[in-house]
Amino acid sequence: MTSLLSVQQLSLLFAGRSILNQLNLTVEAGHVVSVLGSNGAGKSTLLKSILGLHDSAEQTGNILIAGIDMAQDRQRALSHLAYVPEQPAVYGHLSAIENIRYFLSLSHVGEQKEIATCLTLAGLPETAWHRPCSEYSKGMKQKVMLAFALAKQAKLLLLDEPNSGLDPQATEELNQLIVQCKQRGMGVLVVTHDVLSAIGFSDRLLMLTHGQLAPIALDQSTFTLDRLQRLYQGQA
Amino acid sequence: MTSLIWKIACNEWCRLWHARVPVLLLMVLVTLWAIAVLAAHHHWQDHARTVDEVTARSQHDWQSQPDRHPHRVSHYGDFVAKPVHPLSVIEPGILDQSGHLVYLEAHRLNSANFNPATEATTLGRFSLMTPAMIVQWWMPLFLIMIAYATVTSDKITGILAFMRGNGIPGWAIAAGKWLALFLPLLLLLCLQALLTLAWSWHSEQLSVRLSIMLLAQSLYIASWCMLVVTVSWFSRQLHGALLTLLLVWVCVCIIFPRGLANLAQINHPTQPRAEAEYHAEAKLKTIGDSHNPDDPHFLAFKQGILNKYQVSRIEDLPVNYQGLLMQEGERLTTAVYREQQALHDAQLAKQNESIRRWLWFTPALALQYIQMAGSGNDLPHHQDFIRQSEARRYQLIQYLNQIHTFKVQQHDDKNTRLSADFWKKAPRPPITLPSLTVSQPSILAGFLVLFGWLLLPGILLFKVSHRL
Repeated sequence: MTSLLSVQQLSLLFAGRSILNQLNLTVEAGHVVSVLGSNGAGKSTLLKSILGLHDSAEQTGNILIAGIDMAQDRQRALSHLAYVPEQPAVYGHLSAIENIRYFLSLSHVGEQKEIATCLTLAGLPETAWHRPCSEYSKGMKQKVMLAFALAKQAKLLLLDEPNSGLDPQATEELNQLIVQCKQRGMGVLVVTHDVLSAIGFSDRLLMLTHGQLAPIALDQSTFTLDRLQRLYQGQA
Repeated sequence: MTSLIWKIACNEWCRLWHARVPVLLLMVLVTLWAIAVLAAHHHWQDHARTVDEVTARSQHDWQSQPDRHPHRVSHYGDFVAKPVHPLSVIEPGILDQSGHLVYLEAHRLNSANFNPATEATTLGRFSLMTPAMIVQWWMPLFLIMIAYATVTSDKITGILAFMRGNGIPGWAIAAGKWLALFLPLLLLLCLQALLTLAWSWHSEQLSVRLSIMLLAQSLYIASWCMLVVTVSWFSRQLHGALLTLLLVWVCVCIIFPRGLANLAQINHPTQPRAEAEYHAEAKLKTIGDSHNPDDPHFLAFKQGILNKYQVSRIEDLPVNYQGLLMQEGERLTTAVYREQQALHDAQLAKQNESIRRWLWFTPALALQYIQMAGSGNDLPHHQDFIRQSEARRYQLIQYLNQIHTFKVQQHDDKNTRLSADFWKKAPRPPITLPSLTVSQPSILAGFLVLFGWLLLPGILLFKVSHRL
């Protein structure tokens, strides 16, 4: 199976404190991997490390995206990836279409999908396409970001707390979208606190504790709050 | 990559346009600038008119003098005016404080030599709003108000992380933001330069002086834009970015220039005019008094003259002894006053040198140095004007004293009237604008500081822009 993301022996020191410790992770095409963890465990930091947004002096280990070494050719590696941060990052003065067009033009994407198709796939109502994004809800903005990822034809999708601040309906719509991405052959790495959603769309669940990832076996039938608490405390 | 930077800059303009407040601030700035240009142009026209009128009247009055005794002519006096360059519209510098008219007469150095304004620092001027002041103070302040959030807001909304995470280089984002801020202000500076060129294209040394001023202004504004982007990049909160930038502005534009100038005055004080004159008079008394028949210097002088002409009495001299006495008196007086002037100039030079040493702290003062030099209204230009007028005075008075010596009969000295042709032929060389080299140290130091202030935040920003 094609590995779209391969993280080997990733360590990160931040202000002298070890955040990530010899961490290994792979995400294959058509798979969703979710990373759970308590607040401050380093989940978002893990994503930023993969993206190379930390000072290289503090970070060690190898990261391959679609087989391309980040240390060798960061720009080309990132062209295969779409990153959606926790806060939906769109410009309020631009419409959905203008936002996607602008970010695509900056991303040097060779082949692009038609933006309208992607917005339809992402589930954003057509009536909203030309309205300024300052009028959008958070869920709508998330859809714009996912439409961007689709338009970019990224092979790998990194989502940081995608359900944070969304109502149940918007959460469900977003979960469906993640499943659609998976079905299109994209590899998806999700960092989340929403365990139930993660159980729903993930192929693998990982728990980040003490700077290392450990697989956890959790499904709808075995899920209890008590079990979850023990998992978060590293007592699986 | 250029198109990437350009796209980011265009989006930034679009964002600022939609935010409305930045557009309003820009309009206020342009209005202020237009008012400053009009006010300064009017002020410069007043100066230029005065210079023209005084020069013409002085020339006319001098030429209209009747037949008279040369010593009366030497006390009749002569006005000279400092050539006021049209670039004074942009930066009048110390023109208002130092004055631009000097009265030349015998036995005295004119009052402008010891004008209190030249003793005051070059910063003691907050009244007239000039285009230079707009660039130096107001433009950075408005820039801060318009753009303090340029990167911080993208950081808070997650756009910066999104862009960086999707492979857009941090330095390209920083460069795009910088370009978006710098380009409109550069256009304003170029417009100002073009307007100046249009009304003063015939002026001497215009191209080099205007180019230097435009380059310095561009560097200054470029460094402020870089500083705003850098601080905005480092700040996590909007109010943090705003307060940091305002603090830098207050230090760079107000506290450091004033503080440095005051420190220079404390460390290297200049004498007040009255004190300088008192010292000069005291020194003159020790050298010699031509009115005292027993004065040793003038007794020796008299004996030297008698020996030279191989006579034993003044009455037997083939030349007018009073004329010779005037020449010697003028030589001594001038030497003493020039010595006082040199002391004064040396103190001012020390002040300038002391300020230049700490100029790194304030690009605003560095820009002011260059602008004042460019417009011909800094201290070295003023001192050159004083030197030229003093040379003209000395040359003229000694010419008259020589006429007195050789053309006025000693026995009928008081009743002699010489032809007016003598005054018409008197040497009165015009006062010229010196080359920019008189201000070379200030210009070089200024440019070094401006380049430093552009490069330092630029390098810092480039280094950190790959991080969030």
